[in-house]
This record gives sequence, structure tokens and C-alpha cells, in this order.
Amino acid sequence: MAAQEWPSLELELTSFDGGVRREARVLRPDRYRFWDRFPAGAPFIARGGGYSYAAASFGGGAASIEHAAFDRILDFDSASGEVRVEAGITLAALHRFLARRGWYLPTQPGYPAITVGGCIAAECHGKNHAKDGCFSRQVKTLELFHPAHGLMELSREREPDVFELTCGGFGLTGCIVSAVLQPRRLPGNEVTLRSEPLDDVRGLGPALRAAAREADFVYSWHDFNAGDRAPGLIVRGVIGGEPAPDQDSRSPPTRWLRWDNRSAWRVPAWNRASATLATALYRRAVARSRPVKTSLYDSLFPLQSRGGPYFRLFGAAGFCEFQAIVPEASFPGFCDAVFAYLRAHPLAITLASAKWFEDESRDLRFSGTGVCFALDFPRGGGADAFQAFLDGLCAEQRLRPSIIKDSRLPRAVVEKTYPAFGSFAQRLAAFDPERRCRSELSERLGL
Amino acid sequence: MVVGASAGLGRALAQALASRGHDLFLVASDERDLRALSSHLRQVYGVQVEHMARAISAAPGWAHEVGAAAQRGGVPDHVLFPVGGSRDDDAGGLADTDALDILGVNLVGVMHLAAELLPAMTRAGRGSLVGFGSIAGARGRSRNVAYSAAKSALRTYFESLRHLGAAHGIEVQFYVLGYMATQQSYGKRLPLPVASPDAVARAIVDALGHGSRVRHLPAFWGPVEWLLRAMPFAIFRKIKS
Repeated sequence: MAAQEWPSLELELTSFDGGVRREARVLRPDRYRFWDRFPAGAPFIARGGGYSYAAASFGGGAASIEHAAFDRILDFDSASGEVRVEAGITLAALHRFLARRGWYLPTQPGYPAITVGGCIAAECHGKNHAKDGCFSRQVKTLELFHPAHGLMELSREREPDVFELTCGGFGLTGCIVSAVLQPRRLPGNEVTLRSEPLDDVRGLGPALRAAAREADFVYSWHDFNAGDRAPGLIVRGVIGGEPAPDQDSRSPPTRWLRWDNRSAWRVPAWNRASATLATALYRRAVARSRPVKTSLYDSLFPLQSRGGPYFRLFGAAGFCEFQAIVPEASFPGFCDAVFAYLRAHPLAITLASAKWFEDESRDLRFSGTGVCFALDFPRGGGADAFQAFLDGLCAEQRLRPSIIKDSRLPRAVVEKTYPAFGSFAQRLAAFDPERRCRSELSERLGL
Repeated sequence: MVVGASAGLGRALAQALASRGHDLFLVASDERDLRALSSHLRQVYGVQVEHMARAISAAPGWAHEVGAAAQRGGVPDHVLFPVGGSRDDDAGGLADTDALDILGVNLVGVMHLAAELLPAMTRAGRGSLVGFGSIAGARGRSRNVAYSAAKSALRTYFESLRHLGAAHGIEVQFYVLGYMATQQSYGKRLPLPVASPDAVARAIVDALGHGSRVRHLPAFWGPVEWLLRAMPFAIFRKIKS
């Protein structure tokens, strides 16, 4: 069957942050013979749930290949927990399956409709990087398709270089078809969350590092609209309760927050006044709170219940996220620089949050040791200038910015902050010399 | 037993049946699709799932093999035929083998397999046979010529089966399907709403055991078909059919 025989749809795809829009041809195969009769010649890129803030699954003239129909559980070993899944399965579906059998994946990003393939390609992190690492730590083997290489079985022992290029390789080595994951025994289906106030964000590093050693989940939240100390809190979560199935097994909502409905509320409502009011109210609410018990599902996927209105309030224009790993020693100075900038150029900071990261860095993976710090702000206004300022900070202070969370991160910044950039690009070019796998992200970074 | 189970409505039916605890025998042309679906249904729903990869066609032989395998564990309770196929170049000038392929997968293959299963079902005096037509079979068309003819004939064939079923206690159901979100409709601009295969499958599985019937799914396709049939040919040929 020729390439054009697979039905396709011309769609305008948008990065989740609203920063990149491109017309793309989207294929949605639903049978394995697709891989035998793969469209010849044209560039392509795999597409998962479409939750990447950067345009990693479309653009660059590539056809986007959706994996939604490849969402099945292929094998499960109840003794070891090892599970083989197709790459299009969502984290929610996999969690429901595993939790009912007494297992869970400790490292998962916060939105349940993200796919396993997307997590591998973006090398997502979870709620405690210091303890659990990034997503690839749970991946034992994976099956990759590239038209020049066919279907390949990859692991740390078999084709290790392609395996490493694929984990955190933004889909540029081909389509991940399936993966074998190693979950962990579920200690319980309940998470007890305890919050401690932190008066000054500059003292976050040591406190976050210490908390990360004790708890299962650790993150912080700060009010960057409340002056130069950005008061906030550190939240520690400990998993416990009954390991039996419970509310974690609930059905998914009928309508997920998705890339194409995030901008359903056209007019942006986040501005200096609304962000200041919202963060002040939130700070007051959490200051009074005692330890709370919540389901493991809600703790793993907090954005299912809370993410919808928050993201939709950015309107059609969208939002910007800056996320970078800041070495602990540099963190107070980094905060001072940001405060000084915001005093001179006030902006609505809708979210400031951090996690502790502790791992070696490799290739283009968002990993390393330090405070993983994130700031959200509305697109437009002074956002571009603020992003340029943050780019400068990253280059100057050797911070490591997240590639997947920033849809416009320039190549020059990535080259400066990822020492392995050159080697990654070279090895990728050796694997895919014709650059069949492309996206807006790969074109922007020159990969 | 689901014939044509690898994707679309067939896969959705297999899932809906497994979710209600039915053990399954799945048939489709590709072993890899069947293996993936069988594993998934076994793991998730804990049901017994067997499968056999065979192309549904007008060729002799395969139906006997499939029928024998399916009846190894006894007479199937329900046999569903969500199988079919169309091609974009089916505009009246298909080569003989291509036209036969379309008739094979949409009509003759179903007849072959039903013929293998009917003797045991009539002896047992129970079971359901469920066929699937298409709104495309309502009238002769300028596109999907062989396909619409096959689906129209299939409807007549199932009406014949209903006579047989009425005499032997076999439930015979036939569904006329409108647009569904499958590969067949993907990327096409369609004038009426597209149904989800999961929703259609749930409605079909709910109706199993509730008697022989002919229904349109979704139901609004009933009046649409009536209108299409009532339309004078001179008008019908002017709408892009």
C-alpha cells in the first residue's frame, strides 16, 4: 500500500502552552500492518497525548503519527509487576490496571492523559526525582520503529546507545511502539500531605533536599507576587493506607483537558491583579491547612482536578513556563536576580514551584542535581523580555533549562547549558542520517 | 465470537463483551493485532480469549477451519460479524478480483462462516447472530459501488437468517451503521455526526439476548435512510452520493 493510502487529516496543531501553531498532516493508525507499510520518504514524528509545552510532536514539515489506538496491555507478571504496554496507553489507564493489582509507577508527570511513549520520549520526571529518578529508570526495554532500521528491541544491554538516545530523545529516533516497565509495589492508595511554611524562597534548597530524602512526594509552592521573599510552603507526601483498590480506580473524566481545548476560553483572565489575588488567597488557604489525606491517584495526577481552570484562564494566547535546574549554591542568587528583574518589570507570576533533583545529567535529558524551579506567566506583555532575561541567567549561571517545557528555547541556550548537545546531535545524525524524524523542536534546535 | 475484531467497531465490541465477563473467540486477518487485543482483554478483564488469524473472504476452506476452532468449546453464545472493507477507487470499474475481494469480506465470507456455525446453533436451539450493514447500502451509489451492493445484500441475507432463526430459537440482529470514528471515516469531511465505536458497541452488547431486530445506530440514521429511500432518483443523483 502506498503512503497516501493511510487516511490522514490536515490539522492545525498547537503546543500545549499555545506558543507554536502549525498545520500538520496527522495519521492515526490502528493496525500493526501500518509499520510494515510505513509511509515512504516523507518526514514523520510520533505524537502521544499532545501535552508537551514545546512542539515536539509536530512541525518541521513532518507527518504526526498518533498512537492513540496502540494503548493496550500486552503482558503482565503479577509476581514481579513487570508490565509490557503499547506506547499509546495513558498513565491513567495504566495506573488503574496496576493499582488494582497492587503496583504503581513512582515516576509519573502530573496529567493522567499523557502517554507512556510521550513520557519516555520527553524523559518526564515525577514527584521525587531524588528518590525515583526520571521516567526511563522504570523502562526495562522498548520497541522502536524507524523505517531505515525496522522494528528494534532496545534495552540497556541491547543497542544501548539507541536506547539512551530514545529515552529523552523527543521522538527523534522513531516511533516507540511498546515498552516493558518495572513498577513498584503499592504501599497504599492514600497519600498524607503535610505542608510547612517557608518564609523566604532563598532558603528553599537545603529544606527541599532534606525533605526529598524522607518523603515519597516533595514539592514547594511560592507566592512570587508577594514581594522579595516569595513566601510559600513545602509539601511532603507519604504513601500509606490500604493497598487495596479504591478511588484510584475511578473512571477518567469524560472530557480531558487537552491541547485543543486548553484555549477554549479565548480571553485571558490571568493578569497582575488576578494572579496577585489568586496566589494570596491560595497562600492563606494553605497556611491554615492541617495534614490532609488524599488518594494516590489525585497526588500523582493533581492537574486532572486542578489543571483545567488554571490553564484555561490563560486564554488563546497561552502561557510561558520557565523550568530549570538551579544548583543549590546558586539558588539564592538566582532568586535575587529574578526579584530584581520583576521589581523593574512587574509581571503576573501565576505559579512558582520547585522540586529537588538529584541525578547525573545525560544527553538532552532534563536531569541533574539542584532545585528544579518553575515559573508560569501569561504569554504576551513583557513575557518575551523576561524569557530572554532567564535565558541569559541560564547561560551565565549554568542552569539547565527544560527543553520540553519551553516552546521557544533558543538553540544557543541549549548548546550552552547541555554539555552533551554536540554528541547527542552527532549520534542522532548517525542513526537517522536522512532526518526522517523531525519536529518544530528539532528544527529549532538544529537536531 | 467476534469476526473482524482487530480494529474499529470489532475491537470495541470485543472490549465491551470482555468487560461484561464474556469469554471470547476473535477472528481477524492480522495475527499481531489479534495477539495484542487478546492479551489486553485477558489481562484487564480476566476473561478467556482465543483468536485465529484468517482473512475473511469468498475463498473456500478458511470458514470451516475457523468454525471448527470456534466450536471446540461448544456452541458460541453470540456471533458478531463487524467485518467489512471498502476502497476509495470502488467507483464501478473495479477489476474482477478487487470486486470479489469486496464482496468476499462484506458478504460472502460472512455467509461462509454463518453456514459453518448454523447447524450447531439450530441443533442447540440458542445463540445470536449479529450482522452489520451500512447506511451506504440504502441505495445504489456513484461511489463505493461494490461495497454498497454487498452491504445491501447482507441485509437481505440477515433477513433470511431471521426466518431460520425464528424457526430454531436463534436470535438474529442486524444493525445499519452510520458514520463511525474509524479509519474508514478518518480525515473525511462528513455531513452528519460521527459516532464513537465504543458507544455503538455498548448499545449492541446491551441488546444481546433481547430478541431479533433490525436497528439503525445511532438511531437518527433510521429517518435519514427513510428520506434517502423516498427521494426520487433525479434528486438523489444530484446529492453527492
